[in-house]
Amino acid sequence: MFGQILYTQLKWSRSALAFMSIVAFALPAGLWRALHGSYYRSFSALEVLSGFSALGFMLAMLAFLTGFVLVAQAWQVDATARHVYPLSLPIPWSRYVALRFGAGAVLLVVPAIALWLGCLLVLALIQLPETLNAYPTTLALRFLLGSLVGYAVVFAVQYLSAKKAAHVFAAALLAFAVFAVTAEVTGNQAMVNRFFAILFEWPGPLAVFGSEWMLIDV
Amino acid sequence: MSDARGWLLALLLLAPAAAAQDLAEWQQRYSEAQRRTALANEAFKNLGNEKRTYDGAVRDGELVVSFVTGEISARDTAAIARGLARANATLRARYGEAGLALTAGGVWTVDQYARFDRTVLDRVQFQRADDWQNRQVMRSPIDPAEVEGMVLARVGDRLVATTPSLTHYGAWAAFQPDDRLYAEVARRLATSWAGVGRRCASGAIGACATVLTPFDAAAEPTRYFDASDFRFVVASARLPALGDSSYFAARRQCVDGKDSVCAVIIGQVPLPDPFNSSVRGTLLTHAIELGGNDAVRRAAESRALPPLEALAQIAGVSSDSLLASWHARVYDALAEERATTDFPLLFSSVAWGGLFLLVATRRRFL
Repeated sequence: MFGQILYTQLKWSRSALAFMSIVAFALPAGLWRALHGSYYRSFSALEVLSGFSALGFMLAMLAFLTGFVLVAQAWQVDATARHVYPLSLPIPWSRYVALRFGAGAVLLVVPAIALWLGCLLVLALIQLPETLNAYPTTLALRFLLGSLVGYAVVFAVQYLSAKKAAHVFAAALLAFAVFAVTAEVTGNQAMVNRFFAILFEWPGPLAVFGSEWMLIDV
Repeated sequence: MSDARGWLLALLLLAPAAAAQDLAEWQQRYSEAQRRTALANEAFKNLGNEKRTYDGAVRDGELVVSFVTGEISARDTAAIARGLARANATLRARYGEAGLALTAGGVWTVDQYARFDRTVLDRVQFQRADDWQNRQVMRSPIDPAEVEGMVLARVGDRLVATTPSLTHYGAWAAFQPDDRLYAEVARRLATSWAGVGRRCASGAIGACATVLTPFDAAAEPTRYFDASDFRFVVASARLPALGDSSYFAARRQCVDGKDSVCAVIIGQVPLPDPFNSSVRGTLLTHAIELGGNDAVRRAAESRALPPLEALAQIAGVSSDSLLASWHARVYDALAEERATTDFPLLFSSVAWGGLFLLVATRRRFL
């Protein structure tokens, strides 16, 4: 059964998955090329770090987007057919949801591997100062975790609120905006900071996005 | 409501504003605004000259924090008292009477912290009596740990002030070691624009000794910088006065990548200090960590010694051992920082993913 669900997930989201994987693969080398223009001269440690300073943020965004796209595409195809496919299966809805979740989660490995290969490629092209180390595997793992968390959050909202998922996201953003503005006006900026800390600091749900995403570090 | 009605209503609402543009009224309002500005400026000037009477005080041993009665809440004064008591207890427990002696003259005033862009007074500002530039803002309600940290920072400054050979070492963290600070030093060494810093990062203890002794601006450039670093030194140096066209031409060639030219003109630029007192201060912090109970007492006995020897005496080990131990401490802190993020993050992310899945399966859809 899982194989069948995985097959449909792959079929429905292969284009987006391929696009995300290509972007993840090309991003490290492309960013370096855009900032430094060349791979073949020696760079100081600071230059190397500054060359990749934006990479972490861009990858975090891409990871969340990857999770989002995998959920949205599978749901969209299912919803277009008025969920006939899951209804035709001889399993309860909750089991179908779990299998669908698992199938998407397995596919998240593809862009993570593409990123890992892209990191290895750029590391083969540039010369690292001896005081710096490369962490391609850690970064790819972080990307995988980031896309998993992003995927899980979007998946939960989508499968709980069904057609109203977009409204739920919009309402959440609006509620946050009202909360942030109110806190700012009343001098309670600390509440906003605390809110972000709960979300983005360990053990918060989005802690992986609050951690450092460094390809190269000391 | 039709569009025409809407426009009419908008015009009616704007009518009073249009009437306010009458020239005589405008001039009157302008004069009034000028008068109010002058009054406000005068009031602000008087505010600056006003002598504030600090009629309340919190004391613990030698430590005193004064405030204007009614300005600081009872809860905050209690927190200040707890912070002072904790600082004294920490110093007594770790360094005995010698540690407590460093609190002498520890006097602060505390006021409400007001800024024009803030609508709510939820912060207070501590001002050190012996250093008017040293101010610290804390959020109210005050955390006693912050007060303790403020006192320990001042105690570090006092230790350095009474030990001439240590004046180049940043002492605010001397009595409050922090792994994050050590890890930051590891990063700074590895990414340093000075060759000596990078060699220290690679484990050359001799290079670490150069990094951690006070900076000598009159030294040979090669003491701190490699030939490949000269370009950055020249590029970042302040430009000389007009007229030295040969220097400008050479500087241009150097910045463009001619290392041989850089080596010639490096002597003409003032050498920048590649590290700051906070980086060097971590050696003082580590020496006090190693020195334990007797560190402060030994510091008093090392006033006549050169910096590294004084620090070694405080630590109770040889200079080489101190430097090697500091290097290990710095890189252990970095490794520890990594270890504390990677594995917990893996487990928490997977756990949150599972929790969201559980939530998603709760709904009996369709």
